[in-house]
Amino acid sequence: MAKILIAEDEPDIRELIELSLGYGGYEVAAARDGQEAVEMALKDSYDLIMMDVRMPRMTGYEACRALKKRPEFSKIPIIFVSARGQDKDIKEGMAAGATAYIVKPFEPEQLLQKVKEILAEASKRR
Amino acid sequence: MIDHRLAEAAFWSFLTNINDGVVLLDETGLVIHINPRAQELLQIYYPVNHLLEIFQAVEPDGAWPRWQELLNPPHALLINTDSGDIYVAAKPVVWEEQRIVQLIMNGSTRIDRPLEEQSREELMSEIGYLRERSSRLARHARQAELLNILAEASAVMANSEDARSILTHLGENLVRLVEGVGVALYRWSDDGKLVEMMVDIGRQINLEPAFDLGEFPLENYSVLSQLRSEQSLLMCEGAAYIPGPPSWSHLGMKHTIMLLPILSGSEPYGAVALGLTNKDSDPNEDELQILFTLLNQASGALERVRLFENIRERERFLAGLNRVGGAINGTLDLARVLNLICRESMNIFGLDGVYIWQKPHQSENETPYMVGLASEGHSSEAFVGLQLHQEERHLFAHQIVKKGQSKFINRFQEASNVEIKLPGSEAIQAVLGTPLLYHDQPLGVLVMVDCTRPDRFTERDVERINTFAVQAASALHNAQMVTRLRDLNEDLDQRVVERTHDLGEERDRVHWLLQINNELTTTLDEDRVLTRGLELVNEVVQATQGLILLFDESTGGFVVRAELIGAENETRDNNNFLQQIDALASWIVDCRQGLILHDLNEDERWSQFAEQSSFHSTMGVPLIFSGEVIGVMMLFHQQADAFTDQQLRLIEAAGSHVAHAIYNAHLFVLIRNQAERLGKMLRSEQVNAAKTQAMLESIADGVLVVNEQGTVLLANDAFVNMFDIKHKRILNRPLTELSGLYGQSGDQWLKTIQDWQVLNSRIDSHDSLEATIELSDRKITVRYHLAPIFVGGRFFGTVTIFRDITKNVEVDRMKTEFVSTVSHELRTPLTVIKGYLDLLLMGAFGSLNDNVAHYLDIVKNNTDRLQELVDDLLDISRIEAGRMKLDIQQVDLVTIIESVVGVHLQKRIHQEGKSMKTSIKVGEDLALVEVDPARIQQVLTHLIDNAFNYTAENGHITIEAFNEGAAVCVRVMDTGIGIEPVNQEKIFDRFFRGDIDPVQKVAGTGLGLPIVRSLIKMHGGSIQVFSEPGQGSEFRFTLPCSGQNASGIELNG
Repeated sequence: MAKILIAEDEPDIRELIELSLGYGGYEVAAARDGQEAVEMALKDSYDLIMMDVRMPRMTGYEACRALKKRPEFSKIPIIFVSARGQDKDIKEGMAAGATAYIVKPFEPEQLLQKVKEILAEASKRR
Repeated sequence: MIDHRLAEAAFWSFLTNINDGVVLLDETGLVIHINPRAQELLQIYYPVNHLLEIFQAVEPDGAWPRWQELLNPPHALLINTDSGDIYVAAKPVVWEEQRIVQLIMNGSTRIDRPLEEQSREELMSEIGYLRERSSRLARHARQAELLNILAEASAVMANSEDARSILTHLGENLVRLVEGVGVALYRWSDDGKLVEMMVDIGRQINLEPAFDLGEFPLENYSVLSQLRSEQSLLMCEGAAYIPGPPSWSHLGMKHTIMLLPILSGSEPYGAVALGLTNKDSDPNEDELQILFTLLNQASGALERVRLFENIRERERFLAGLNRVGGAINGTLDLARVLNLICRESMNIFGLDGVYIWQKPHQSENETPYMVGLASEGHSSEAFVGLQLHQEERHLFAHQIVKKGQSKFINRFQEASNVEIKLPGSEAIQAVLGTPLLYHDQPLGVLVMVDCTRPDRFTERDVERINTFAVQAASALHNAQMVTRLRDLNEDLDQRVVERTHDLGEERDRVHWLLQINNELTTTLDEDRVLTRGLELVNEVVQATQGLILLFDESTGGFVVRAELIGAENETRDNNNFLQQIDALASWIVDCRQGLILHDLNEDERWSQFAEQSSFHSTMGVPLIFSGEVIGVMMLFHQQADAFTDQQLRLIEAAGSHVAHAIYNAHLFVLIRNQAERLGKMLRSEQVNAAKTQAMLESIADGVLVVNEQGTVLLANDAFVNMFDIKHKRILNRPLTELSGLYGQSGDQWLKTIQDWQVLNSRIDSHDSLEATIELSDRKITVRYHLAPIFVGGRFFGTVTIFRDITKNVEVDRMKTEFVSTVSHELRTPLTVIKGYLDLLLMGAFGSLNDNVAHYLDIVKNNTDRLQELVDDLLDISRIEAGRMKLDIQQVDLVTIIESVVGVHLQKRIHQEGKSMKTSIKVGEDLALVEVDPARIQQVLTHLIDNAFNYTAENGHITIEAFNEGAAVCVRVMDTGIGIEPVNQEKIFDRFFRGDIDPVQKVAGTGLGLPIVRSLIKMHGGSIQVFSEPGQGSEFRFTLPCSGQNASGIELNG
């Protein structure tokens, strides 16, 4: 089963995402901010990374750009899940190298559906 | 000095009378002379020619050689004859420059007396010498004579001033020189063809010199032609057989004629013909030399005379010109100038008659005709006043005017095609005409005639006459001008006299009128004006009665306002009299001019009046001011014909003054009343203005009043405080001076005010506008409201009310930010709540019983509403904060419509189990729209959600899209509950929701339609609602299109 790294500073939401993805049958590792997410991603390997945008220490965009600089992450899909849902936010996120951008509040079912699609697409490319 | 002729006579006498025989022989033996004694001795009484004949006669048997020795003197011979011996001595002698032999014979005695012989020989020799000397002397005397002739002729010719005397002397002296028979002189005429005989002197036949004997064709006389061309001496022998002019007959027909050229300077002048005797036919060299010298001197003298003549002629011409020129300056009398022109041209050109035709002053296109103006000389008395008429254009003078050039006709009598219409024209031999031009305008023609010389005129005359004509024309012009001026002057004088008389009368009238005017203008009291006016008028007119009636507007009739004091008043109270007066006044008013009725009895209309009033004549004038009749002044007299026209004119003038004075008096009353009223108004105005000022100053809003020129008339305290500016900096100054003071946005409102000044008729004064004003230390936001000021329908300026809304704006901004922040912060808990709810409902934490599931559904519905509210709030706050940016693209609207209807609506129909018919209608060639697709999807979602929400099950939702001009129009129609008319505008207000049941049942924030309208406005479109409660609603909006349809084909219109 695919392994997913999530980064979210809000503990309730972090747990909600963990539960949702876990309900979907994925193995989930969680980081509390961008910095930690980058460290964990470098330590271990993940099939997909899901990040909030506004986080302490390092924002999701910064983390995404840091990872996407490395060749080994070029094919790892990164999804943003953010309460910021304006067009310019989404554009910036996609420009940082994200594969998808989900605006909060999300429905767990919808989240799972999106993850499933992206992973299928990623495995096809691999 | 011994006279050689005396010597000659002595010699021959000596030879005849000497006792010795003398025979003179030339060297060859030819006999020159035999004296009578020798004839006697030799017995030879017949002529002998040679010594041989003497020898044969005297000594026929002798030896000839013995005689021959005599030709070789000195020699002596003794001859024996029947009558005795003759002693012959031969001696050489020089005689007339020849050596000859002299034979001296003595018969009676032997010549053996040496002494006698010797003395005789000596004598002979002496005589020979004497003869020789005498001959030389004769030659010298001839030479002296020639030189004498030359000297004499030279002196005469050198002092001669005319060609005639030079030629006379030349002829006389030439004939003396050559000792000829006669002489004739010829002159080459100007045309080069003819010879004119000048002198004919026949010395021997004693003809007196004669001149100008006639002209002859040169080509008839070949010899003269030859001389003319060769210019060298010609000898013609046998003159009788050579064709020549008649004068040749005097030169001796049998003789030789010597032809010599005469020059004037170096120019051929003529010829001289000298008749020579045969004996003297060849003049010797001395004579020829003298002859040519004489000719040369004559040539010089002729040239001198010619030059002198030229100079004299020119002097004469110039003097004439000078006189004419002087006359032009000296006199302006036309007759004198004309006389002078005629006389001088006669003098200068030596003519027989001069005439001036005048071309009368008239316009160019008329056919010219001429009048004889002045003349002098030949038949001049009949010329003045002659007329050339229009039909006589062929006449000489007309031709001159027409061509504008001088022209002469020589041999006029032979010219058949020219008419001159001058008196005595049958005697005219040559004619010359010249136009008198002044600045190219022909004034007339100057015509000159000669009655004796057919070839009088030459081109040179034309040149001179042209010069003369300029002066003459100028003189003529000046004189004509002066004559015209003088006529004008006389006319003026006459007019001045008439005018002076008129003015005198006028002065008296004016004086009187002035008096009236003075008196009337000193008072503004109307009654006094009328009474005094009437009195003054009557001073002149002396009427029995006088009245002034004024028109009364209130009654529409006349009222007697003044009458002559002291006049008879009995009849005045008579009602009938007043009616008649009124009728008379009305009549005068209708006529609008002064009238005199000389005898009222004779006029049917007024005869009754005359009987009653005892007035027989009347005079009246309307009183008119500014074209309006204000009354009538009437004067009456008991006698008929009491008034004159002159009086009437005076009364008319006085009437005008009276009317004026009445008007002034009226005006005075009017002005006084007006002034009082204005004073009252002014006071109340001042009170009002003070109130207004106080009000304006006290209100919190800034007030700025600008007149139509853009000058600030009023700025209250609130304004100057708001704009941080001093009163004096802005009051009564152009508004434009503020430009640049308040930044770009500040300039914008200045511009708006200026635009309004110009476009005041199109001002929509309902709009409130906003501007950001940059002050020195802060920025303020003002809302201003412009309105035009019309005073009495005339645009006066604008008034602008400013309100400082800086704080309001700030509050608004904070509100928007607050909403945004709050909304954002709301999302996090919402996410958590919704997430866990969903997980619960999904059964992620185990299955739920029905009750729990139902309640969780309720929680979830409300959570969705909450989320919708938050989304809408976020949108609205973003739109209001101006942070909503559109990402404009060319979009096919159908795609969006289909997505919303096909996906979103169908999903709701399915989820909520509420069946609904839907239809989409798209017009042909639907244009692409230029929109942000996400926002338009939002718009359509809102509208279609509403349609779905407020339409009962099995209703119908229709979406239409079609081109409408430069836009695409979209209609979203349903068959739902509809909207009450009162609510149809309110539904676009924020948070408005209908308060009826069906609305309240549907979850909603009241933000959807405001958002929809804002988004459509942002796209440059508009939205409208059409609805009828219970029937359904239609939302119709427009979006700008790109001008292309979905296939990329350009659309027309």
